[in-house]
Amino acid sequence: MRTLLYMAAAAAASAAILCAPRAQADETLFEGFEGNSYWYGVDWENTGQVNLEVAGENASQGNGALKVVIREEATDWKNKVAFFKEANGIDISKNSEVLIDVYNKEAAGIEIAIGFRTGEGWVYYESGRKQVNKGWNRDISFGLDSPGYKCKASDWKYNAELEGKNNIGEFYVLVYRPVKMANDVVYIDNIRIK
Amino acid sequence: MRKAAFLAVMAVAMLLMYASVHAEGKVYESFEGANDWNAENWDNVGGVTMTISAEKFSEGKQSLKAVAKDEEEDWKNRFVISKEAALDLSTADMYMDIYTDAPSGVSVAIAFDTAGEYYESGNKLLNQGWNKDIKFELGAKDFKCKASDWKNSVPLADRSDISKVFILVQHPKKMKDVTVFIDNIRFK
Repeated sequence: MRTLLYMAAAAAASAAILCAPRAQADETLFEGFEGNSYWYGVDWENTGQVNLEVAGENASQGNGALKVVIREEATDWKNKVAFFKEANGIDISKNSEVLIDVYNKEAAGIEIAIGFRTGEGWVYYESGRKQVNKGWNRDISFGLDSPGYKCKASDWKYNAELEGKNNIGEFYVLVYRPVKMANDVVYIDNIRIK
Repeated sequence: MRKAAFLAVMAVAMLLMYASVHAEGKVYESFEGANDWNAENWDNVGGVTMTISAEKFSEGKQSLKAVAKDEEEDWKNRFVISKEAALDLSTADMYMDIYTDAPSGVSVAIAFDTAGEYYESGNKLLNQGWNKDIKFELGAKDFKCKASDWKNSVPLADRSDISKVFILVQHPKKMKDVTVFIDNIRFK
C-alpha cells in the first residue's frame, strides 16, 4: 500500500514538473555558421584583407564554423580585419552579453572585438579587445551594459555606452594583431546573445 | 508522518499544475480552423505563402505555416501578415510560439493598428527549432511609429482600441526557403 502511495506521489510530482511552464533559454544563437554564410568583409581603409568561408572543421557548435583567413599586409597600421552580418534591427536591450567561441590555430597576440551599427543613424560602436590564446577560446564574453565601447562621439575612446541596443542594424567581429597582419587563420563559431 | 508527507507532496503537485494551466492565458489564435490572416503587400516587404499545417504545432493540432517567397530585390527580406481585430489590450502582453528550421538570423516583431496609427515593436531573434512563449511587453516604451520618426522610443498608444494585429518576420538577405510555423498566440 505504502509503495503504491509513494508511486502515486512520485507520479504526481513528475506530472507537475512536466506541466509547469518551461523557462525560456537565456541564450539565443545569433550565428552558428551552418549552411550559407551571410557575413561580409568590410572595405575600410584601416583594415586588412580577409577571406571568409564556412568550413566543416573546428566547429564548437553544430558542424560548421567561420574560417577567417587573414592575408598578409605590407603596411603595419593595417593590424586588423573586420567582417559583419546584417542584424535586421533585432532588439538586444534586454540582453547582457555576447558570447563567442574562437579557435586560434597558432599565432600569439591575437585579440578579438565586436562592433555594432545601431539605431536609425547606424552609429558604429566597438567593444574593447579580448585576448585569444592558442587553441580553443570558448565563451569569450563581451558585456553589453558596460561603458567600455568606443564610437565617433567618444572620440574613439573606450568610455561610451552602447546606445540603440533595441535596434541593431549590423553586427561586426574584428580580429586584431599586435603588428602588421601576417597570414593567419582563426575559426569563429557559436555567437550567442545572452 | 508518511501520510503528512504524501499529502504535502500532492498539495505541491496540484499547486504546480494549477499554476501551469493558469499561466497559459487566453489563446487568441491557435490556427485550428480556416486561415483568416492576410499577407501585407507593402513596398518594402516580400511575399509569403500561408497554409494551415499539421506539421509543427505547439497547441491544438495545427499551426500557421508561412513560407517567404524568394524576391529578386534582396532588401525585401521580411514578410508581414495581419489579422483584423477589435481588442482591448490595455493590461495584456502578447505571447506566441514559433518554430523555424533556419539555423540562425530569423527574427520576429509584432505591430498593431490602434485608433488609426501603426505601432511596431522591437525585433526578437529566434533560435532554430521551437521558440515558445516569445513575449512582447505591450506596456514597453520601445515601439516605433510615424510620430516617433520610426525610432523605437514610444509606448503603444490606445491599447484599448486595437483594430489590427501584425506579425513581421525578418530573415537574412538571400536566405532561401525561409519557413516558420506560428502557433498559440496569447494575450495575457
